[in-house]
Amino acid sequence: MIAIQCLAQKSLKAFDAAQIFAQQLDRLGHDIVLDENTVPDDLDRGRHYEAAPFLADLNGVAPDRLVLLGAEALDAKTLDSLRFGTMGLPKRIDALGRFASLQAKIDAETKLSYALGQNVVALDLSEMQGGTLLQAALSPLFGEPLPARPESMPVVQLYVEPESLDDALGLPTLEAMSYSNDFRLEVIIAGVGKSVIGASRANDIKVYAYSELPPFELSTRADILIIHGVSVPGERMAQHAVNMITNARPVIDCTADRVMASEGLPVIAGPGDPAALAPFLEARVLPELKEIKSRMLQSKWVRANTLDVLCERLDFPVPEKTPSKEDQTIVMMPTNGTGLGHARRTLLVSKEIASAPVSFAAFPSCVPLIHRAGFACDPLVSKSDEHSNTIANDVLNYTRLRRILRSGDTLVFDGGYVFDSILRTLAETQARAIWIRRGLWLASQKRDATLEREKAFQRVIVPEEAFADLNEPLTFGRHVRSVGPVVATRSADVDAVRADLSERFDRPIGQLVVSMLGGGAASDRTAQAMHLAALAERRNDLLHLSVAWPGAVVAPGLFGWTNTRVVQTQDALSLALAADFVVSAVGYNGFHECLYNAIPALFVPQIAPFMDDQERRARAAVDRGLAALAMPGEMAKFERLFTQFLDGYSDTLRGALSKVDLPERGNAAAARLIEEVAHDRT
Amino acid sequence: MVKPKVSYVVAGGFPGGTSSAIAAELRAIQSVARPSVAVFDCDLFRTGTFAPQLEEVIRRERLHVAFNPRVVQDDVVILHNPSFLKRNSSFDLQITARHLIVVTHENFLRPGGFQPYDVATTLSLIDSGSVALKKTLAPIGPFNRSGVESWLGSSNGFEHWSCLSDDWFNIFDMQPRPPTQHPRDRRGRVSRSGAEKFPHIAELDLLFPPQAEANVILGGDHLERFALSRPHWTIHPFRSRPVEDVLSEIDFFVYFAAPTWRESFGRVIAEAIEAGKLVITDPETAKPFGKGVVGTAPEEVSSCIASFIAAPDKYVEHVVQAQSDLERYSPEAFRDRFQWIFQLPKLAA
Repeated sequence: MIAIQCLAQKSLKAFDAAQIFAQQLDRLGHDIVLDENTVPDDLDRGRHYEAAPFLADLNGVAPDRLVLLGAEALDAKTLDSLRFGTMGLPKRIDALGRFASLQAKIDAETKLSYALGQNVVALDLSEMQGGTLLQAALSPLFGEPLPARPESMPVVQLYVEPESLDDALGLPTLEAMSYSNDFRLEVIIAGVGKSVIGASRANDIKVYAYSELPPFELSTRADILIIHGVSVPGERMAQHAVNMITNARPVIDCTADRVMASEGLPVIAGPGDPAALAPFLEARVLPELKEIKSRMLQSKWVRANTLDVLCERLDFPVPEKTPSKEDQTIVMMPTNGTGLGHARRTLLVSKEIASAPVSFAAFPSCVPLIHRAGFACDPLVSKSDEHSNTIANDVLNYTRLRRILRSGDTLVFDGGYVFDSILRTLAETQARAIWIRRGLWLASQKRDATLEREKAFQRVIVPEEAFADLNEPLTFGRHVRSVGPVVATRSADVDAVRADLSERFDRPIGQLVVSMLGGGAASDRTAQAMHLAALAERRNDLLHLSVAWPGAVVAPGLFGWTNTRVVQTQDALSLALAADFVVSAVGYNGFHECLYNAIPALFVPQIAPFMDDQERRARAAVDRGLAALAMPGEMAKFERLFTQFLDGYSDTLRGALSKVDLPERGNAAAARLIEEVAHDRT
Repeated sequence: MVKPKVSYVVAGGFPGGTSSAIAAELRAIQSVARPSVAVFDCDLFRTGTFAPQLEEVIRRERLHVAFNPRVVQDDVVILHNPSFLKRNSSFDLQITARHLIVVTHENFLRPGGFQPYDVATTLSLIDSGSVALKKTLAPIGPFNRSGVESWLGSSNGFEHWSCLSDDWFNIFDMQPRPPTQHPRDRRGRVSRSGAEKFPHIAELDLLFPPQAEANVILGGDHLERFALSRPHWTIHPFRSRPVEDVLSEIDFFVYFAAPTWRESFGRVIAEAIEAGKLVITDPETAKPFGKGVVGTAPEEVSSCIASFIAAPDKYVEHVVQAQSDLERYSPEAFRDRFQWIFQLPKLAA
């Protein structure tokens, strides 16, 4: 285990330095930790994710090695925290720094040696590296090998300062560059820059916030990097630039201070005016790319600044490679909705996959259901008010997903909102990815930012609605593929189920009503549930089973009725099949199970801004004479319909349902589409 | 007979041991030489800083003093502690002398063979502005000497410097007090709170255990600051009490520093011996003080103390021996050596 810490004053800059180096060594296969006590208070969202895999409570633990960065900026408090902290000190401690003189180096070495009680030798990076592109950088700034870029239109990443957007020509210049036929523009910008561009007419440009992705991830996506502004803006952009240069990918220095060029780095001096960038690229850089790359490779600076040079100086052992998994797994990740719809849908599809092993990563409410279906499942963590911040669970899920997923695996996500944990894991692991995304989103859900996340997936599978008028594509492209409704169909031995229920509840059953109103996070269904229980009391031979979702809050009053029983089951369909009719919310699964299994239903939609358009779905069935609908507030109508159902309307509907012509189910088709991606047969 | 003239080159800013040693030296040689003092500012200390010990001896002995002179010219020029130049990029002084002696108060090498400052650059600053028939480095004790000799042997470009064969020791004008006849397990130590002065906290726990009757630590400010104090320790901030008072409360002076640092002389140990205390320290630090000071490992300290409590005669014997050995650092002893070094005729006291 190698611990990394920056000796400079606790700050974002110092933490960035340690974190960037940690990521580099981690990619080489080393076991890296960062002491959680070194995290600054103002860690932003992106850095929370980046840090999480490395943070450790090192109380009483001595790592095998300790590498200290920024020894030239040694801070007394930081040194005290090492000296008097709870982390054990390893036998070998290395310090890295850029020292102005030998005396400065000795000063750092003596302070460290006195405080830590063992002699520490500092490595002078200025001496090793030659020129540096960021004065006062705390990061080691060595470049690591990048995966090869595809032979397609080169991607030009442009770093601009957010202030440049204040210029009247700032945005139009970026917009003009984005229309180039010779390169594809991506912008990296700090502060509010990303949202300013997103809200402008130029919102088609791919924009990264400054700390949105780790430097390595940015480097893997770029063929050319342009840095514009006063100077290289910080550790992250400096590391990105070093990665690019050491991999012979041109870096164009358009900074005012021109430090990179003056320090002797093999970079291209570019124009100061952004308006000149596109013609400069088209006339001077792109036609000469081959020659530029070959010259960069000959540079002494490049040879002195690769990560393996530093690792050799630090005597890092070559880590043992983790053996690659024999089987490439398909990992299903259903989100936890208000019910278990996403989990049930992915299970239906998983059962149709035969060509690769399938496992699950799922939230606690779904785990028993998945285990019962015979699949392995790694648990994820749900959001909770008890957590220290709103992303705590997703940060933890990210650390789990990056352990579960390996390059070559395929992640199948079923849900509405693609979590940051998923995006980051996919970016890191280069795993294949598929998004199962049912439609019928409310207008309020159709946000560009939500749908933009589709770019992380190779394929989007849209399980269609049974009725064509409900199918409106959210996005277009060859990667978006529709399949018929993914739904469970089953035949049930109605008499046996009823006999079983009769025995269990010790009462005769004349009529059986099953309610699946949903609830929990989405909306409070207490009023409807109690109303239903009161109505059920009017018939002597009626048994009403109120199905409660895992995690749902059940009103205590519901337990006091004679004809109502609250049940929790992972197989509500078997109960519904045995019922005379169901009273149900109108989620995708419940709705289609009613249609495809000819179960008469009185629908009571759930309405919440983050849910699908349940009312519209229900009306499509009602308009075709296949179901009935009462909105949540329509108590009188509900009472009337309920009575009608008990008095024979349910049989009428059952008859209609048995005759309706429905599209072919899409369970197997979805499985085939997943297998195509998993086996690279797209 | 006219006493020979000697020029001293010193930095005014050394707050502790170096300035005290120079002041004692200037006082001691009054009867055999006519010293003048050139005081320099440097980048290590605030401009105009002048240690009170130096100020006092210059005033009392009415010594000739010059501040930041451009030239120092004398038969013998003695420059004390060259480390004062470690932050300087230049040293604007021309020295012309028959013999230039540089007294190496700060060790040239730390334990493990590492330089505590950039000796070559510092010495080059002195070297480049000086013309002398002979240039000598004068170590102040055994460990200090081993560092100077080792450094000289492995550095290029300093072959014209020689190493003085006898130590240029720090003067300690002792007023010995008798040891107790009934030693108790009362332990203590005195130092600044600097990182180099203290061992690891686990070692401090060994040295000052709960079973001791008293554990007094003067200069343990940082232990309180980082909540590392133990209920059985009495901690006083540095300079919050006179050293003599603290020494009067203990019978055993237990002094261990960071293993990466070593005292070049150990004035605080001499003060404990003077106060009649038995000193226990690491073997290397004990060396210059003779057999009366016990050199041992931290884990042996408690049994060592127990053995002295069980045999009070042995305790007294050790302290008296240490006091007797300390006399070799007396002003008289220094004066003898000073004359011998300069081959000056002996004068009547």
